[in-house]
Amino acid sequence: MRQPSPELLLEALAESLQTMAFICPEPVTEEMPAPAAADCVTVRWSGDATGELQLATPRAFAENLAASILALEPGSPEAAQRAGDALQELCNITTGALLSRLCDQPTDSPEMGLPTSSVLPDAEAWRRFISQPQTSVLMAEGCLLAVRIQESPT
Amino acid sequence: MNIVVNVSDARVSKDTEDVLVTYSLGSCIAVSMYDPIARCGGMLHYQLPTSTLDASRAQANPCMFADTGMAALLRDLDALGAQPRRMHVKLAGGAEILNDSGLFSIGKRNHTAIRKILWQRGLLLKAEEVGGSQPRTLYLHVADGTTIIKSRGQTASL
Amino acid sequence: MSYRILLVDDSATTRGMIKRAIQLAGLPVSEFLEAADGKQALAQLATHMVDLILADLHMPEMNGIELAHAVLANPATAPIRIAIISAEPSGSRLLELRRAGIKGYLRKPCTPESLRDLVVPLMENRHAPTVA
Repeated sequence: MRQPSPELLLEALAESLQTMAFICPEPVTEEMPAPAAADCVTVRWSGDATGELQLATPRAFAENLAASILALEPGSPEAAQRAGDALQELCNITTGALLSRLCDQPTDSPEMGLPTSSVLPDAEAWRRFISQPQTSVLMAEGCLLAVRIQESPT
Repeated sequence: MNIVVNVSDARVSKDTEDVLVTYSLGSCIAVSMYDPIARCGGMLHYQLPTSTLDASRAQANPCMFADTGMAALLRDLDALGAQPRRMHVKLAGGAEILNDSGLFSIGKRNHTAIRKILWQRGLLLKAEEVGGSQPRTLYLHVADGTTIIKSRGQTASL
Repeated sequence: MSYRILLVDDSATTRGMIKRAIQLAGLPVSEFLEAADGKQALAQLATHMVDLILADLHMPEMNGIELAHAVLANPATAPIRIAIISAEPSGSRLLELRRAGIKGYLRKPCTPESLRDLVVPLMENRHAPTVA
């Protein structure tokens, strides 16, 4: 398997967002305050390589994501109800899109796990999250969206 | 006759002799819509993904933007008796031009914006030719809804 | 003629998106049934017959391949066409799908149009294999 790079990670995230959610991520061009709280989703993989991909974003983006995928009005109760699930699915699909870019042999078959959710409870936790290596921060629908990967030895 | 759809423009027709044509599609996108029952069609050529970028320009020229442009095109088609769910929707353009390429290009944003609008309005695309780096010209024949793309000397139906 | 379709995915958001795309494609669907994993899907099939199953691969209880094996091994459900819609990155697992008798595969992320293009031929031509 190829080694992941920040470019491949952003490509995978952009492809997933554009295709499934009709959202174009953008670079962060101005200073944004750290979110007071954020949802964080993790998908791990094992096999030929082992690692994890994490997404973190304020709940407002997760709600917009659900609304966009389901063609709902932003702010609708159903969008709020689906927000956590939509973010988990984005993380799942982004991980698949990244791993398909990393599989360069027909026999490469990393095993993806199921998404798990946690919370970054305050701005300090957000700042710690984005200061980790291999982390990128983008703008999407006016919200910050952070993505990181971590590889571990098999 | 050929009816030219300019940049930031939308035209509709019910005359089966007419061909709607838009030239010089780079990162811009042309939306072609055709109702085979009402036998009418329309074409929008917009430049930018959303009117929230510049509300005053959107008011002066709604067809500059995907959202306000689509609203204008659908309103004009409705006046000709077209029904959205019957319409064949096709896209062309959204190329990455010169030094505007990569993940955040305006062509990609234009394409994603129109896909979102169509999804929200309950319309699926019948065909599209988007991306790449080539300029395109799109024709819509009102007689039967045939769409033709010309690009770098090549002609193909869409 | 109208169809009954069973959507099997642990993401309710994805089930909603697939459902909307199929509705917009204009197929005559009389009923959508939903399940969050393979076990729930089999429970649905115990009381409801369907024409098509669209299933994810990675799910908490019983994955899509195990579901396909169970459905195709049971003479009562064996005629049901099954397609997989999944973020699965591995090319070699596609071979496993073909061997399991799965009729179609679509990789997530997918557009509404690609869902239509997967489902319509499966419904209109019961024997057309569309695994890539």
